[in-house]
Amino acid sequence: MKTLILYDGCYFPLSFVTGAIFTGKLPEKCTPELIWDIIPVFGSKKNKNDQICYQGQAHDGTRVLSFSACSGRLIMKNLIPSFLKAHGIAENKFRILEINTTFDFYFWMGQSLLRMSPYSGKGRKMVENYLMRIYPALVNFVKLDWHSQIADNYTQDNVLCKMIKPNPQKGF
Amino acid sequence: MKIFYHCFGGAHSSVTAANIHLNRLPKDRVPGFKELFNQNPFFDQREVNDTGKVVHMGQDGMGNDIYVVGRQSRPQLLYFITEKISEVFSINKDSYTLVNMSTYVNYLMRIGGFISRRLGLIKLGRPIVTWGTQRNYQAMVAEVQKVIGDIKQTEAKN
Repeated sequence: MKTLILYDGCYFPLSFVTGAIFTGKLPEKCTPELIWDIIPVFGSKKNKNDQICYQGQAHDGTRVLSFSACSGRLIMKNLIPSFLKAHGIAENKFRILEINTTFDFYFWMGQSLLRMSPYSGKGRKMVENYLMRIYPALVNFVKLDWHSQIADNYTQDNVLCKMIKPNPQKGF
Repeated sequence: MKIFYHCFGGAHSSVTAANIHLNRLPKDRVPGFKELFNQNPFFDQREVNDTGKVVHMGQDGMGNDIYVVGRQSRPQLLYFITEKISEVFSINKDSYTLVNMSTYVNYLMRIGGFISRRLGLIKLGRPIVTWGTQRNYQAMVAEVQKVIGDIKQTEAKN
Protein backbone atom coordinates (compact mmCIF):
# COMPACT_ATOMS: atom_id res chain seq x y z
CA MET A 1 0.00 0.00 0.00
CA LYS A 2 1.34 3.37 -0.99
CA THR A 3 1.29 6.46 1.19
CA LEU A 4 1.12 9.92 -0.21
CA ILE A 5 2.61 12.60 2.00
CA LEU A 6 1.69 16.17 1.19
CA TYR A 7 3.18 19.18 2.83
CA ASP A 8 3.23 22.94 2.57
CA GLY A 9 4.77 25.80 4.50
CA CYS A 10 1.58 27.81 4.86
CA TYR A 11 -0.55 28.64 7.86
CA PHE A 12 -3.64 27.68 5.89
CA PRO A 13 -3.47 23.92 5.23
CA LEU A 14 -3.36 23.83 1.43
CA SER A 15 -1.98 20.31 1.51
CA PHE A 16 -5.00 19.20 3.52
CA VAL A 17 -7.33 20.67 0.88
CA THR A 18 -5.36 18.93 -1.87
CA GLY A 19 -5.48 15.69 0.08
CA ALA A 20 -9.24 16.07 0.51
CA ILE A 21 -9.65 16.45 -3.25
CA PHE A 22 -7.59 13.31 -3.73
CA THR A 23 -9.57 11.27 -1.23
CA GLY A 24 -12.84 12.53 -2.73
CA LYS A 25 -13.97 14.49 0.32
CA LEU A 26 -14.05 17.65 -1.75
CA PRO A 27 -15.75 17.70 -5.17
CA GLU A 28 -14.36 19.23 -8.35
CA LYS A 29 -16.79 22.11 -8.05
CA CYS A 30 -16.67 23.35 -4.53
CA THR A 31 -17.81 26.18 -2.29
CA PRO A 32 -15.64 27.97 0.26
CA GLU A 33 -17.99 26.83 3.03
CA LEU A 34 -17.36 23.22 2.16
CA ILE A 35 -13.62 23.76 2.52
CA TRP A 36 -13.97 25.54 5.85
CA ASP A 37 -16.18 22.72 7.06
CA ILE A 38 -13.59 20.04 6.49
CA ILE A 39 -10.33 21.71 7.47
CA PRO A 40 -9.08 21.06 10.99
CA VAL A 41 -9.37 23.67 13.73
CA PHE A 42 -6.73 26.36 13.60
CA GLY A 43 -4.30 27.03 16.38
CA SER A 44 -5.05 24.28 18.86
CA LYS A 45 -3.03 24.69 22.05
CA LYS A 46 -0.93 21.65 21.45
CA ASN A 47 0.58 22.38 18.09
CA LYS A 48 -0.20 26.06 17.54
CA ASN A 49 0.22 26.58 13.81
CA ASP A 50 1.20 23.10 12.76
CA GLN A 51 -1.43 20.85 11.29
CA ILE A 52 -0.65 17.25 10.71
CA CYS A 53 -3.46 15.01 9.59
CA TYR A 54 -3.98 11.50 8.40
CA GLN A 55 -6.74 11.91 5.84
CA GLY A 56 -7.66 8.32 5.23
CA GLN A 57 -7.52 6.31 2.05
CA ALA A 58 -8.28 7.28 -1.52
CA HIS A 59 -10.29 5.09 -3.92
CA ASP A 60 -7.19 3.21 -5.04
CA GLY A 61 -6.13 2.47 -1.46
CA THR A 62 -3.46 5.13 -1.31
CA ARG A 63 -3.17 6.53 2.19
CA VAL A 64 -2.97 10.30 2.40
CA LEU A 65 -1.10 12.20 5.07
CA SER A 66 -0.86 15.98 5.07
CA PHE A 67 1.45 18.33 6.92
CA SER A 68 1.06 22.08 7.16
CA ALA A 69 3.54 24.01 9.20
CA CYS A 70 4.06 27.72 8.87
CA SER A 71 7.74 28.30 8.01
CA GLY A 72 8.44 24.62 8.47
CA ARG A 73 8.79 23.75 4.79
CA LEU A 74 12.51 23.00 4.87
CA ILE A 75 12.28 20.87 8.00
CA MET A 76 9.47 18.79 6.50
CA LYS A 77 11.18 18.50 3.14
CA ASN A 78 14.32 17.03 4.69
CA LEU A 79 12.99 15.31 7.78
CA ILE A 80 10.19 13.16 6.37
CA PRO A 81 12.21 11.20 3.77
CA SER A 82 15.33 10.90 5.92
CA PHE A 83 13.36 9.76 8.98
CA LEU A 84 11.57 7.12 6.92
CA LYS A 85 14.87 6.03 5.39
CA ALA A 86 16.41 5.74 8.86
CA HIS A 87 13.61 3.33 9.76
CA GLY A 88 14.14 1.26 6.65
CA ILE A 89 10.89 2.18 4.89
CA ALA A 90 11.38 1.43 1.22
CA GLU A 91 11.25 4.41 -1.08
CA ASN A 92 8.58 2.85 -3.25
CA LYS A 93 6.20 2.74 -0.27
CA PHE A 94 5.65 6.46 -0.14
CA ARG A 95 5.67 9.55 -2.27
CA ILE A 96 6.20 13.04 -0.93
CA LEU A 97 4.79 16.08 -2.66
CA GLU A 98 5.29 19.67 -1.74
CA ILE A 99 2.39 21.96 -2.47
CA ASN A 100 4.12 25.14 -3.36
CA THR A 101 2.15 28.17 -4.45
CA THR A 102 3.28 31.36 -6.10
CA PHE A 103 3.46 34.21 -3.62
CA ASP A 104 0.21 36.10 -3.30
CA PHE A 105 0.07 39.13 -1.06
CA TYR A 106 -3.64 38.79 -0.23
CA PHE A 107 -3.25 35.12 0.66
CA TRP A 108 -0.30 35.94 2.87
CA MET A 109 -2.18 38.83 4.48
CA GLY A 110 -5.32 36.69 4.87
CA GLN A 111 -3.37 34.00 6.67
CA SER A 112 -1.85 36.59 8.99
CA LEU A 113 -5.25 38.08 9.78
CA LEU A 114 -6.72 34.64 10.46
CA ARG A 115 -4.52 34.44 13.53
CA MET A 116 -5.88 37.67 14.97
CA SER A 117 -9.33 36.97 16.26
CA PRO A 118 -10.80 40.48 15.72
CA TYR A 119 -9.76 40.41 12.06
CA SER A 120 -10.17 36.72 11.34
CA GLY A 121 -13.36 37.39 9.33
CA LYS A 122 -11.49 39.68 6.98
CA GLY A 123 -8.65 37.19 6.77
CA ARG A 124 -11.08 34.43 5.96
CA LYS A 125 -12.47 36.44 3.04
CA MET A 126 -8.98 37.05 1.66
CA VAL A 127 -8.04 33.39 1.94
CA GLU A 128 -11.33 32.40 0.30
CA ASN A 129 -10.66 34.70 -2.64
CA TYR A 130 -7.29 33.12 -3.16
CA LEU A 131 -8.73 29.61 -2.78
CA MET A 132 -11.32 30.40 -5.43
CA ARG A 133 -8.54 31.20 -7.85
CA ILE A 134 -6.33 28.29 -6.92
CA TYR A 135 -8.90 25.51 -6.54
CA PRO A 136 -9.13 24.57 -10.25
CA ALA A 137 -5.34 24.31 -10.37
CA LEU A 138 -5.40 21.99 -7.36
CA VAL A 139 -8.11 19.83 -8.98
CA ASN A 140 -6.11 19.68 -12.22
CA PHE A 141 -3.03 18.78 -10.27
CA VAL A 142 -4.82 15.90 -8.59
CA LYS A 143 -6.53 14.70 -11.77
CA LEU A 144 -3.75 15.05 -14.30
CA ASP A 145 -0.45 14.83 -12.54
CA TRP A 146 -0.92 12.85 -9.43
CA HIS A 147 -1.45 9.37 -10.70
CA SER A 148 1.70 9.41 -12.76
CA GLN A 149 3.70 10.93 -9.94
CA ILE A 150 2.74 8.34 -7.37
CA ALA A 151 3.06 5.41 -9.75
CA ASP A 152 5.45 2.67 -8.66
CA ASN A 153 7.67 3.10 -11.67
CA TYR A 154 8.14 6.82 -11.17
CA THR A 155 11.86 7.12 -10.82
CA GLN A 156 12.53 10.77 -10.08
CA ASP A 157 13.57 12.18 -6.73
CA ASN A 158 11.21 11.09 -3.99
CA VAL A 159 10.41 14.61 -2.88
CA LEU A 160 8.59 16.41 -5.63
CA CYS A 161 7.77 20.06 -5.64
CA LYS A 162 4.68 21.10 -7.51
CA MET A 163 4.27 24.78 -8.19
CA ILE A 164 0.59 25.63 -8.14
CA LYS A 165 -0.28 28.75 -10.07
CA PRO A 166 -3.59 30.43 -9.43
CA ASN A 167 -6.13 30.55 -12.19
CA PRO A 168 -7.12 34.12 -13.08
CA GLN A 169 -10.74 32.95 -13.42
CA LYS A 170 -12.77 32.11 -10.38
CA GLY A 171 -13.06 28.43 -9.88
CA PHE A 172 -16.12 27.99 -7.75
CA MET B 1 17.16 1.28 19.10
CA LYS B 2 17.63 4.57 17.30
CA ILE B 3 18.69 7.69 19.15
CA PHE B 4 18.14 11.05 17.52
CA TYR B 5 20.05 13.93 19.10
CA HIS B 6 18.52 17.17 17.94
CA CYS B 7 19.33 20.84 18.35
CA PHE B 8 18.87 24.11 16.46
CA GLY B 9 21.16 23.48 13.50
CA GLY B 10 22.30 19.92 14.10
CA ALA B 11 25.88 21.13 13.91
CA HIS B 12 27.25 21.58 17.41
CA SER B 13 25.59 20.29 20.58
CA SER B 14 23.89 17.32 18.91
CA VAL B 15 27.04 16.34 17.02
CA THR B 16 29.09 16.62 20.22
CA ALA B 17 26.55 14.51 22.11
CA ALA B 18 26.55 11.89 19.37
CA ASN B 19 30.34 11.75 19.42
CA ILE B 20 30.33 11.41 23.22
CA HIS B 21 27.80 8.59 22.90
CA LEU B 22 29.96 6.86 20.29
CA ASN B 23 33.06 7.21 22.49
CA ARG B 24 34.74 9.42 19.94
CA LEU B 25 35.01 12.03 22.67
CA PRO B 26 36.00 11.30 26.30
CA LYS B 27 33.39 10.99 29.04
CA ASP B 28 35.73 11.46 32.00
CA ARG B 29 37.33 14.81 31.12
CA VAL B 30 36.73 17.93 29.10
CA PRO B 31 38.53 17.50 25.77
CA GLY B 32 41.11 19.99 24.66
CA PHE B 33 40.33 22.78 22.26
CA LYS B 34 41.85 21.03 19.24
CA GLU B 35 40.19 17.75 20.09
CA LEU B 36 36.77 19.39 20.00
CA PHE B 37 37.60 21.74 17.17
CA ASN B 38 38.58 18.88 14.89
CA GLN B 39 35.93 16.37 15.92
CA ASN B 40 34.51 14.62 12.94
CA PRO B 41 32.20 14.31 11.22
CA PHE B 42 29.86 17.28 10.90
CA PHE B 43 30.96 19.49 13.81
CA ASP B 44 30.21 23.04 12.66
CA GLN B 45 29.84 21.83 9.12
CA ARG B 46 26.16 21.55 8.37
CA GLU B 47 24.43 24.24 6.35
CA VAL B 48 21.03 25.85 6.76
CA ASN B 49 19.71 23.75 3.86
CA ASP B 50 20.48 20.62 5.87
CA THR B 51 17.87 21.53 8.48
CA GLY B 52 15.69 18.52 9.18
CA LYS B 53 18.02 16.06 7.50
CA VAL B 54 18.58 13.02 9.68
CA VAL B 55 22.24 12.01 9.57
CA HIS B 56 23.56 8.67 10.72
CA MET B 57 26.61 9.14 12.95
CA GLY B 58 27.37 5.52 13.74
CA GLN B 59 26.47 2.57 15.92
CA ASP B 60 27.37 2.32 19.60
CA GLY B 61 28.64 -0.75 21.42
CA MET B 62 25.11 -1.90 22.26
CA GLY B 63 24.00 -1.87 18.63
CA ASN B 64 22.04 1.39 18.85
CA ASP B 65 22.05 3.66 15.83
CA ILE B 66 22.95 7.26 16.60
CA TYR B 67 21.60 10.10 14.48
CA VAL B 68 21.71 13.88 14.59
CA VAL B 69 19.12 16.28 13.23
CA GLY B 70 18.69 20.03 13.20
CA ARG B 71 15.20 21.46 13.51
CA GLN B 72 15.67 25.22 13.93
CA SER B 73 13.56 26.50 16.83
CA ARG B 74 10.76 23.99 16.14
CA PRO B 75 11.24 20.96 18.42
CA GLN B 76 7.47 20.50 18.58
CA LEU B 77 7.29 20.16 14.81
CA LEU B 78 9.92 17.43 14.96
CA TYR B 79 7.91 15.59 17.62
CA PHE B 80 4.63 15.90 15.71
CA ILE B 81 6.08 14.75 12.41
CA THR B 82 7.86 11.75 13.89
CA GLU B 83 4.81 10.82 15.95
CA LYS B 84 2.42 11.00 13.01
CA ILE B 85 4.73 9.19 10.62
CA SER B 86 5.28 6.47 13.20
CA GLU B 87 1.52 6.00 13.51
CA VAL B 88 0.90 5.79 9.78
CA PHE B 89 3.90 3.62 8.94
CA SER B 90 3.51 1.42 12.05
CA ILE B 91 6.91 2.31 13.43
CA ASN B 92 7.19 1.26 17.05
CA LYS B 93 7.49 4.44 19.14
CA ASP B 94 9.71 2.62 21.60
CA SER B 95 12.18 1.83 18.85
CA TYR B 96 13.53 5.36 18.83
CA THR B 97 14.11 8.23 21.18
CA LEU B 98 14.50 11.95 20.57
CA VAL B 99 16.97 13.78 22.77
CA ASN B 100 16.85 17.56 22.85
CA MET B 101 20.35 19.00 23.19
CA SER B 102 19.32 22.65 22.83
CA THR B 103 19.14 23.01 26.59
CA TYR B 104 22.92 22.63 26.67
CA VAL B 105 23.58 25.42 24.22
CA ASN B 106 25.03 28.52 25.87
CA TYR B 107 25.39 32.06 24.55
CA LEU B 108 28.91 31.46 23.30
CA MET B 109 27.73 28.52 21.21
CA ARG B 110 24.83 30.59 19.87
CA ILE B 111 27.01 33.53 18.91
CA GLY B 112 29.78 31.33 17.50
CA GLY B 113 27.30 29.18 15.60
CA PHE B 114 25.62 32.23 14.13
CA ILE B 115 28.93 33.75 13.03
CA SER B 116 30.16 30.50 11.56
CA ARG B 117 27.03 29.01 10.01
CA ARG B 118 24.94 32.04 9.11
CA LEU B 119 27.56 34.67 8.40
CA GLY B 120 30.04 32.18 6.99
CA LEU B 121 32.93 33.56 9.07
CA ILE B 122 34.21 30.14 10.04
CA LYS B 123 37.64 31.27 11.25
CA LEU B 124 36.01 33.58 13.75
CA GLY B 125 32.91 31.59 14.68
CA ARG B 126 34.27 28.07 15.06
CA PRO B 127 36.73 28.86 17.89
CA ILE B 128 33.95 30.67 19.79
CA VAL B 129 31.52 27.78 19.41
CA THR B 130 34.26 25.32 20.41
CA TRP B 131 35.00 27.35 23.54
CA GLY B 132 31.30 27.39 24.38
CA THR B 133 31.08 23.63 23.87
CA GLN B 134 33.99 23.12 26.26
CA ARG B 135 32.18 25.13 28.93
CA ASN B 136 29.04 23.00 28.72
CA TYR B 137 30.77 19.73 27.99
CA GLN B 138 30.19 18.11 31.38
CA ALA B 139 26.46 18.79 31.21
CA MET B 140 26.33 17.17 27.76
CA VAL B 141 28.20 14.13 29.07
CA ALA B 142 25.71 13.85 31.93
CA GLU B 143 22.79 13.95 29.48
CA VAL B 144 24.36 11.30 27.26
CA GLN B 145 25.04 9.10 30.30
CA LYS B 146 21.40 9.51 31.28
CA VAL B 147 20.28 8.47 27.80
CA ILE B 148 22.56 5.43 27.86
CA GLY B 149 21.24 4.50 31.33
CA ASP B 150 17.64 4.81 30.13
CA ILE B 151 18.33 2.59 27.12
CA LYS B 152 19.94 -0.06 29.31
CA GLN B 153 16.94 0.02 31.64
CA THR B 154 14.50 -0.33 28.74
CA GLU B 155 16.45 -3.21 27.27
CA ALA B 156 16.62 -4.92 30.65
CA LYS B 157 12.82 -4.67 30.96
CA ASN B 158 12.34 -6.18 27.52
